[in-house]
Amino acid sequence: MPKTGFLSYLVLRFNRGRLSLLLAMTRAIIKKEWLLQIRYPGLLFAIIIWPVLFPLSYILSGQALAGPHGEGLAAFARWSGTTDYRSYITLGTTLWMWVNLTLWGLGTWLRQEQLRGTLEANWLAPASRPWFLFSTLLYSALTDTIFIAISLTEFHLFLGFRLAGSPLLFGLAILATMPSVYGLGLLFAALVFWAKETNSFVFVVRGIFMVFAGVTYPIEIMPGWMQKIAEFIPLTYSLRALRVAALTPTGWPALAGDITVTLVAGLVLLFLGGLAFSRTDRLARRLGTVGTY
Amino acid sequence: MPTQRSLSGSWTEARLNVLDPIWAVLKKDLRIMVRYPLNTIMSIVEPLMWLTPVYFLGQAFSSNAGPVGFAATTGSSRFMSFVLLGTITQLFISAAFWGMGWSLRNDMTAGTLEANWLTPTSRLVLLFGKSVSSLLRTSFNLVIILFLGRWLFGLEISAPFWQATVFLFPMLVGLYGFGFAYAGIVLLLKDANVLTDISNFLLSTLTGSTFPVKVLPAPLLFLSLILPMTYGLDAIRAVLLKIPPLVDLRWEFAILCVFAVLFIWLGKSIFRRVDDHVRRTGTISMY
Repeated sequence: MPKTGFLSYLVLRFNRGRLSLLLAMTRAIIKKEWLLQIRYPGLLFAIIIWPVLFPLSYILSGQALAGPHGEGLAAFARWSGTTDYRSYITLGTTLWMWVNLTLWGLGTWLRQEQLRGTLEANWLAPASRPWFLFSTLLYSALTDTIFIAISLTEFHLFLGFRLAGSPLLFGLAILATMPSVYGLGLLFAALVFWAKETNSFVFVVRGIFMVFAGVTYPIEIMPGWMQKIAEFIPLTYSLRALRVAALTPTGWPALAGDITVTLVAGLVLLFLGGLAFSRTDRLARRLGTVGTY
Repeated sequence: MPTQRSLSGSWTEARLNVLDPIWAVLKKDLRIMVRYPLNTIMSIVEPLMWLTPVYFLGQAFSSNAGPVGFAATTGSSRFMSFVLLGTITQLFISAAFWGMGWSLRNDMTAGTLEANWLTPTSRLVLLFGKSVSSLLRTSFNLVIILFLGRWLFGLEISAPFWQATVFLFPMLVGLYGFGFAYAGIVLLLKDANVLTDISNFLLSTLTGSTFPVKVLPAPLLFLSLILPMTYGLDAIRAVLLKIPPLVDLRWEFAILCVFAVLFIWLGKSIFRRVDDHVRRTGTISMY
């Protein structure tokens, strides 16, 4: 009977033989996911075009609202602390797209395996399921890193994005956001696997983020009850940290609070995601519904 | 090989060949809508979710005097009314792409396309039935969205809505003609998910659904001014919000009428060619 505890593999059973097996598994999963991705080149085209296309309507709305001579800019600066509404909006929309990619990618990974009919075969293999999950998460993180790099390059070239703050702090804010995004992805994967429904859940989750986390506007503009809800969304703090790091010359003290909250929430989400996955997997195997969709 | 019945003939023939199939398509789509109530609710809630960030963005640029920057750009301070009217083109463009364009592909994946195609009913009549169904559903969603939008975000218009239908009607005819053509393209491509997603979003952006098109950079403005829907939306806003149109309203009406006639003919021609091609190559059921 193969061991399934992730920690037990690393801590109690660590040796070169096992490690090479796990690495081989990771390589196989990454190769498989990559082959699936390039099989549909339209998806690669989408990764290039969406970073510029998606924020465009918000930026142009902002341009109309700012006025031909900047009549509306003062009001925006009072709420947001910056007149650079283009960068302000693109940072929000990029984080939103990152969450969206994760929900559709990592979040629907288990369900996709179910629909393809490969989940049972994979689950029957003498391989660690938590490591399967980790490898898929790693692939998701690698492709998202490429997406973020492409996005930032395009923002600079086409939308006039300029990093006014510290690149180091900006990078730190991105890294601190990762646990939240992927923890959410894991929780979502378990939920979708159990409920056997994808589209509606994606729309609800990303809709909540779009409405409450201040993707295109400062959350202070919202009514009090909406700001209270925003306080419970970890990505609200991530977005604020990213904006402060990128758009202002303030240093670590201005970011410390938000980054700490983001990291702690992210670790909690990762833990809950792993737990939800483990429970859902056990339940599905007990009920015999692993392959049903 | 059974031949297709012609559309001419007595009233009974017309009812059997045209009205009954359209009614059957409507009933089928209504049944599906009722069977998946969550999808139906989401089709109303989702546009409102997309509108909310735009509303707060407008608030972020507004002072005690209102959105003065927007008023300087467009001549009207009714930002959310401007945006809510933009949902008209957004919803119908989306219906042309996802509703009409994917209607045949959905039949394909459900395994019902070949059976429908083998009936003696004209395929164009079946497609027309899908257009009517899509038009009714989208119009229903639009009414609810505008009603809720008025309550949540404030919608104020300066003229009765029926005055805008003069421009709305030819725009819809042209859009659904485009939908015919796109249905054929999707049948041919087999995997048009990314193309549909990007094209839908791009067209909604270029027609200025949330902003006046004059703020577009020059290359995009050129593309925008090629699109007939830009003039349709502009005319609707000019009539209902009393703001200056891009060009004289009579010219905009003429453009929309030409668009309607052209795309009905184009849509029919492209669809017929694609239909012949997939039947000849035997790929009608492949996806």
